[in-house]
Amino acid sequence: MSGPAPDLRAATDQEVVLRARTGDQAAYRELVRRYERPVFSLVFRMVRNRELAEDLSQETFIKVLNALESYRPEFKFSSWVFKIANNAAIDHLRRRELDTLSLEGSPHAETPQMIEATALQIGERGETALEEVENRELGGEIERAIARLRPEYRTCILLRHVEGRAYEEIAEILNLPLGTVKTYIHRARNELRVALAHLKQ
Amino acid sequence: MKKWPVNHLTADDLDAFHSASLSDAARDHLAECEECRTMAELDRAVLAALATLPSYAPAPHFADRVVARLQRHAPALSRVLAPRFPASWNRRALAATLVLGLGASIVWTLLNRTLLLSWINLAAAETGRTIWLGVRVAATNLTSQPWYAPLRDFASSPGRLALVIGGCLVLYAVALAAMRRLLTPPSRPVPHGNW
Repeated sequence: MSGPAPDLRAATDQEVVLRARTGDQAAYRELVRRYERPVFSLVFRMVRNRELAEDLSQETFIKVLNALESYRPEFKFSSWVFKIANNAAIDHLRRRELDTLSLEGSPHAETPQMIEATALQIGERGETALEEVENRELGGEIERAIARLRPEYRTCILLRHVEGRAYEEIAEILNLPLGTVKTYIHRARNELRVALAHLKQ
Repeated sequence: MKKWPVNHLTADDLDAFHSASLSDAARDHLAECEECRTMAELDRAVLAALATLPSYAPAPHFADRVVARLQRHAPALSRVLAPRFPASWNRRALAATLVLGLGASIVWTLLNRTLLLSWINLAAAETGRTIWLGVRVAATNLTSQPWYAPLRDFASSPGRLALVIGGCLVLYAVALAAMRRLLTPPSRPVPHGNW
């Protein structure tokens, strides 16, 4: 399949959104192409399951594309997309109570099968890229440490230090006061420091 | 010699440390405090590790799957109309209908002013008659109540009438104060108030 038209690649998010609003499928694809990796990475690190992350990412983009009419161009498009993606991931975690899971599996699991089924899926079959990271000591440790963070801390730290978003933008994405975002990020960093301290020594 | 409390690096100081904009006081403290130096170095390592984390890609043809699901989920009517009437056309059609409707209504009003005036007069007269009839019925009902005559006798004395009115006013003021107290939000946070 051929890539998007060159003018779409060079266009700003707002310009692509305007074209997508007229039903232009090339514009839809361009918006998805621009944000599929950051959205998928965020959701994957939140739910730690590739198939689920893919489903939630698809849901995110369907919501985004269906609601383009309600998007207000004075806000950053990326903030809006991340907000919807984060809500999808958090809603899922709340529904499934995965936020209390540990690497060793759910505390409610009673049989070895249940423990295996509920354990975080690090280095799962088919997750070549993730396995590669897990094999590198620091990368693996930090992925594990991120997985242990509370979901709200996890979102904040990923948006700030992996996606490189500003504190203000994160506050807008998560609908939280700026001070709360800063607190979450510093608490998360504190937990990561504790988790990685032994490696440094 | 008096020992001052130690001001270790704050979260903002750590951010400043990473962006090389640490204040002089914080820099002096960092030079002396082993604990803060270790923390800052470890924080730097954490940030470096976070920055090297890879971004993950969904399975190939992700955009195709999204667009396919989008079309499958689109409502049947909009799917039928979408190729011929994009969103902006729908808005234009709606605006044109409203303008045409408004214009037609103005033209009709100008052509049928006498008829319209007679309708308005008739409606006004009927409404007035209905209201007056309602008032008369309500008054008749009131005066025919068994408690009306004793109440009228009681209120016929000016002193007693003043007493009744005063009592009603006091009752009204008390009710108003109670309502205001109930509706005023608490000045202090209520535990679990956001739940």
